[in-house]
Amino acid sequence: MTDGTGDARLLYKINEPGVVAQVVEGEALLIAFETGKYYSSADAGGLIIEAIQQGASLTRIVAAFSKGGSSAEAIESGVAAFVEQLVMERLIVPGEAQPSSDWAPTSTLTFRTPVLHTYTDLEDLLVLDPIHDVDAAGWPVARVPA
Amino acid sequence: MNSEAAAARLEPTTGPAFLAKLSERFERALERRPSHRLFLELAGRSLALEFAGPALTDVLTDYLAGGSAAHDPAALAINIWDSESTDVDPPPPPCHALVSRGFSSELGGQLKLAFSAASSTLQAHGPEVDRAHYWVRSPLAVPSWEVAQPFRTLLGWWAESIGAVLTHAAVVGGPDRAILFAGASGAGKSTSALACLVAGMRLLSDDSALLELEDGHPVAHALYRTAKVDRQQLQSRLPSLKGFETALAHDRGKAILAFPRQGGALLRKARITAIVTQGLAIDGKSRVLPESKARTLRVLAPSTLLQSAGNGQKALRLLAEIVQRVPCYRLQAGHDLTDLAKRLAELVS
Repeated sequence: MTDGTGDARLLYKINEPGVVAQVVEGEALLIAFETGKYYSSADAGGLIIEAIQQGASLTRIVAAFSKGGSSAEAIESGVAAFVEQLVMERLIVPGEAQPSSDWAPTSTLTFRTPVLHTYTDLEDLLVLDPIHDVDAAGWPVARVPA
Repeated sequence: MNSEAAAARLEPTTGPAFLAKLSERFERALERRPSHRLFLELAGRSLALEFAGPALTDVLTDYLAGGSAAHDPAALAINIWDSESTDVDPPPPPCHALVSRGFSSELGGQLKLAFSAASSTLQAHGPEVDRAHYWVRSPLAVPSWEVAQPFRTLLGWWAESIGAVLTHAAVVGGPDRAILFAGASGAGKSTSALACLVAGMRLLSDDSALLELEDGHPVAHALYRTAKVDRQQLQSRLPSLKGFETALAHDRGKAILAFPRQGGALLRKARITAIVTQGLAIDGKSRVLPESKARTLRVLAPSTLLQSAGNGQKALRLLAEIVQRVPCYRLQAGHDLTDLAKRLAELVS
């Protein structure tokens, strides 16, 4: 769970299969099946999520942003805060594999604080049984209101 | 007995073991009621339905889009029975998730199960991609939305296993050029699609279409010949379609329409040449404007995936590929449906 520097906080992965993620035109879309929420993040946020998907460590991600001319302190704190938000939402979890050295951004980005947008309008679509009793065989039956 | 107590008494069962018990129960049902087999064409493939007795035949096939198909080999075979007419129940639930949540794909990964307490239906797919089971306690318990769109959960799992995705979308147009409407329930996809039907386009779906890539291009297949529309919208804005209303009762008060398989209104298959996200026009005038692919995916994917128990990364990746291969637009839907259809017709002309 480290990136070779010994820091266990620096490697993450998408929390599959409960969460799925896809990046299109630099904007990341994440869908969480347990909660029915979905999320999006563009620009720096999309790049960070794409990099995590491809196995890049946070060290590598921060280094990529540093080439854009922003202050190291701003980048590190911004990336750390965003990652913490992704962890709090259970969208990413600590990674287990070795970090990938293949990922590289396709362009130099000026770092701006990443924003995670949360959407809750589809929460009621979740496939969840209502509160129920069970029959003699053990299969649920819908509870009839008294 | 409550579900927690029942779950505590479960004997752990593997996926293959549960499937073997399920198959054995179906064979027992066939001993009680004679087998009735139908072969239907669906998404360009053959679907084989084997019923234990006739009780569910019409209930579960009337509104499928496909007509008769050639026999074996079937791309998907579904074994179907009910307890009321066969007196055969399914085996006990195999895991806690099914008792408490109604859905599980925990049993060895390739076997997917879904159970609805409200309608007492059990659906199972896998581990072979061409095998599925469907059980219901009583034909009378099949809810109207399941009658209008039968086997939707099973077909969604089967779609992903063959590299396709059952998408929450409306599709209208012609065989070579068709529009896919994306949007959450209530956004107006059905109304827009039906307005296009009235204007002379053909309807492939109002709600559920099977999408795949064919020679690198997105193609949609019809699954059902039904459409849902708000009853007031039908009366006031789409009166020419009132004759297609069925007797099925929708739980949210919508009218369920059914279109004949023959007759020209329906499309079985279409090449998608535009994706349109649905919105409302503030000034009441319809417009079709360019839309980003990222936002289009954000509208299309969540409502598709969150309604399908167990489909995930493969389906999302396919939707992303599809979105990136066709032009995307957003519709600001105005009051005048004739004008709305005319604007959309320009996308397929």
